[in-house]
Amino acid sequence: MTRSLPLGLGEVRLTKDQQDQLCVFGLGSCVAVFLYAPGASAVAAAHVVLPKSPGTGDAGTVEPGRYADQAVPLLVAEMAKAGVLRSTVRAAIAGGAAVLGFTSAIGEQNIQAVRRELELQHIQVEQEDVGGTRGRSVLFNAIERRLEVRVLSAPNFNI
Amino acid sequence: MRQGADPHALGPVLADLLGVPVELSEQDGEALVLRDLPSLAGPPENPAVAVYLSDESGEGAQVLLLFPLWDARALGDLMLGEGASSADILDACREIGNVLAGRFMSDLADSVRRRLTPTTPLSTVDMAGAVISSVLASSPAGTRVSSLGIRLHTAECTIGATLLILQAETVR
Repeated sequence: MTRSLPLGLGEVRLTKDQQDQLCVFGLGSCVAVFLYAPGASAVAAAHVVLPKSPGTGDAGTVEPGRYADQAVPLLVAEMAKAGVLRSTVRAAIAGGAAVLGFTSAIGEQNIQAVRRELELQHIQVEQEDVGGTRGRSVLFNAIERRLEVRVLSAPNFNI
Repeated sequence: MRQGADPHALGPVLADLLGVPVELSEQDGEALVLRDLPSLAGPPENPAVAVYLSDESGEGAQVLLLFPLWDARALGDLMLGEGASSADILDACREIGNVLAGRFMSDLADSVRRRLTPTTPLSTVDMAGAVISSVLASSPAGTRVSSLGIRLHTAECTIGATLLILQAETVR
């Protein structure tokens, strides 16, 4: 039976259990990052809130996934600790929406920052669903290694 | 909760506007860790009508009002009569947001001796958590989050809503 592991704002999780599904519910301008590898059971995820950490003083934050520039290297390190060969690691990303007009800048900055960090780590983005103006819930199944995205269905927009 | 502006003053404002008894319950966002804040208005995936206003500087005070969809419909029935259109209900929610934000910012302006003028309300229908997390992410560092649960008691039902008040250090 599948077990859902939800990630809150700034949270990081890693699982080696293929029954697990890493989830981020109600994602707006934030970006969910999932790292996985063909043939490996480990999947790591972060719920990134902002593109860049304010400085080294915040390195010990209780939400290590809060900033893209800290979250991605941390996920890579977690995958390495789990014994996954770095050259096999792939990424799936989702989020970065502008659910209210004024949040468009932060969503786009988050997307760009996550892409940049992944590129620095030489990790290919294989799956993505980013941008737009609607919130999402995203689920990553450890067995299928597939990103599933849910948005509100049309009837929900009618009050 | 804070010096100066008392959010409980918003209860009578809302009761006068809608003509029903209003209950407010307070939950201080500071008591919650960041990761849980998108759940302040219930499960983050649940659809909600969201109304957002900030002061014109964009960096002082922000107000976010969230109605679960069912509650927004019930509010439409209360304010406009049964069968109101989605557009009219959204207008009604915006009006409530406007009144609450206007009163709160006026009280806050008095207490910090600064001019605070609310913007035109922005509104959307989307996942509650997506809206809350987006507003949080766009807020200046050090912003304090306070949450008020609102219950409107009509003859037929109770309508629930959540009011989030975000204050930057500059207006505390």
